Amino acid sequence: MRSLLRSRILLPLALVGALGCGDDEPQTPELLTVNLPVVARVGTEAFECGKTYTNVGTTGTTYEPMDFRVYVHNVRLVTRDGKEVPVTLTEDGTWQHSGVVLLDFANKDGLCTQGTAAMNASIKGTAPQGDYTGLRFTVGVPEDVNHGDPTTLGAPMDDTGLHWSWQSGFIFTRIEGRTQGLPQHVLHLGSTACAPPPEGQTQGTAGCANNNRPEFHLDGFDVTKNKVVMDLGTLFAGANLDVNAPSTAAGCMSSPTDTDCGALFQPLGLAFGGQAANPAAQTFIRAE
Amino acid sequence: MARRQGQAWKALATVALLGAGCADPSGPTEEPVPYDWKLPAGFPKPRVPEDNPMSEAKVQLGRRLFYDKRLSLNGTQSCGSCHEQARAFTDGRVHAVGSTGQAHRRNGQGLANVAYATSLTWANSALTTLEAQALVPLFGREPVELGFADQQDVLLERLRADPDLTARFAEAFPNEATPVSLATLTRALSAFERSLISGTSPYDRYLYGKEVDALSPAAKRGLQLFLSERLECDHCHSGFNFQDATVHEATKEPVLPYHNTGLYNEDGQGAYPAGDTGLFEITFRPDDMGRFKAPSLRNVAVTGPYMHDGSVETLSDVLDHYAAGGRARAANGGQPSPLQSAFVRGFELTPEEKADVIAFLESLTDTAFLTDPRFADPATVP
Repeated sequence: MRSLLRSRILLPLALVGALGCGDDEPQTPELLTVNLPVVARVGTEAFECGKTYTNVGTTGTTYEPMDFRVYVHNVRLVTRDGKEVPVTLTEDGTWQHSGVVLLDFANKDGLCTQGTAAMNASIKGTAPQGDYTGLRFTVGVPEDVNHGDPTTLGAPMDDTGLHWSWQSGFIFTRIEGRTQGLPQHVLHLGSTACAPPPEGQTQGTAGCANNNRPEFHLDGFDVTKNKVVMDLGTLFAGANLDVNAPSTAAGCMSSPTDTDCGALFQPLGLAFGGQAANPAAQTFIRAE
Repeated sequence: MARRQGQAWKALATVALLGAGCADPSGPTEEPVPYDWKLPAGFPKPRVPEDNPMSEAKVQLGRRLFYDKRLSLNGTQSCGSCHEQARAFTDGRVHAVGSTGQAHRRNGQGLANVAYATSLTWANSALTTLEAQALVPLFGREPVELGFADQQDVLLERLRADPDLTARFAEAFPNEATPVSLATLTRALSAFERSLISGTSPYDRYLYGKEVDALSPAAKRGLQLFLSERLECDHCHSGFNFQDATVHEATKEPVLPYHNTGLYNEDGQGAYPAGDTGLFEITFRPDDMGRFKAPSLRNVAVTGPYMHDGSVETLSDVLDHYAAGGRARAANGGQPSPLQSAFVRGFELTPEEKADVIAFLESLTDTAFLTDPRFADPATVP
């Protein structure tokens, strides 16, 4: 919260400074407009509410989408010599704010009754011109925003459907659907095992043992040609979507005690139980 | 009394409107009218979040919203449906029941002096403001309480469609470009909840009002037992609010204690029933298994049944639980749970002493609070 405020105050000051002192104005580097398409798929097929996908997961079940939304932040380009350059996200009042972008692939068709009819399938911003050969970003919202007040953070952090009020944190991915075995299978990714507020503060957390913010590195990504693919087919490949571990949430709501999470955390590269974090196993998101 | 306050409130509103007319239109210039807490003797000033200062207009709006059934999706329940004033804002049920009929796994909470509480639900150390807590009943899915999960637009459109209510929002939040929003809704509800101060019980009249006879001899003996090392009650039910998780304006460092009182011990290692493991399900720290907050004991005689799951029916049963050093001990060959609080170690009380402790607990009933028209449904008590 505090850093958000600070950045909002600093930005106008920086603008005033740049406009006011004409003479020794530093040369502004040419800006590269970044507009990264993000497409949702289920295997080889495009993701669409109202469709039915077959042969999903270990049981080859059917999957009918009910929701597919993903928060992303910390978007960076990587130069040929390996340097990370942050992308400044364009504030659009709806999908992008304070360095956070909400990707929304669900409209109000079919079983997708939640959220809005509007969708967002791109990441937009600017970066200094450069020779970029990679893209990196983090799924989720940053920790300092995660424990803020969803009623005052502003869009896209204003949707209570993407907030765990009881956990006081955001749902980083809300992926839901119906399968042959389950009337609702959900994957709600979010931070768990969070400590009370730090000393001297009455809100927020002193830290979460399981941050669950997977970092994606797309090497060889051409900013001018490539797109980001989020694939439910690979996300679900090792999971049985027809059964649910007894006495646990339907699917995985990130609980460390819900064994259904193991197979879903792996393609995210996240640690779960005895399973160590393994970025090499990430198959959910790729470049194309 | 209520009428006079109503007039005062109207007068304030008029002054505020006049002020707005003459003021520099570039921004708020007038000093907000300080909120009159009407604090009982001996009570510290509550701490209030910087972004939600108290005002009479906001409290009045919050009171209206608290009793408004439009705050449930199907129009059957308001906040007041599960928080009844006559029961110190509890509901008398073992488990609360939401607007769709779904039972909550937990016992409904009292709201007396909630302004002083650092912990607002039974076992969630991450939920530390009333503003954040308000989102749980409104939007919670498991269980459904008021039922607006994924329907926040329906809620806001419904409220905005009422011109009278919209005007009250605008009055309570004069600097907001969008007077009716989730932020103003949760802030108004929280301001009303903070105004629910209970501090004129016989015990208060005895202690702070120096009315020697306000407590019966039995209640006075009970008070001594309550404070004794034998019973250890006041370790968790401490201070003016009989609650260790208490904060007020002068508190340097608010604390968030949670305790395992040995109600359950499913495996001999202290496990609580899988569906309700207390703070553990937030932190996943093994030590937090079965830990819940100690509620305030103010008005405790009217807030039964007791404990986080309503599993203890009467105050007499509560004392039996603590006298046994935790209810679960009997089922574990007399062994305490390794996780239970060291203060829950058991004691013996004669029947007379038990009656004395109960007399003391009953002296915490604040009948003025339970009937105060300021806290009542404005539809029945304008």
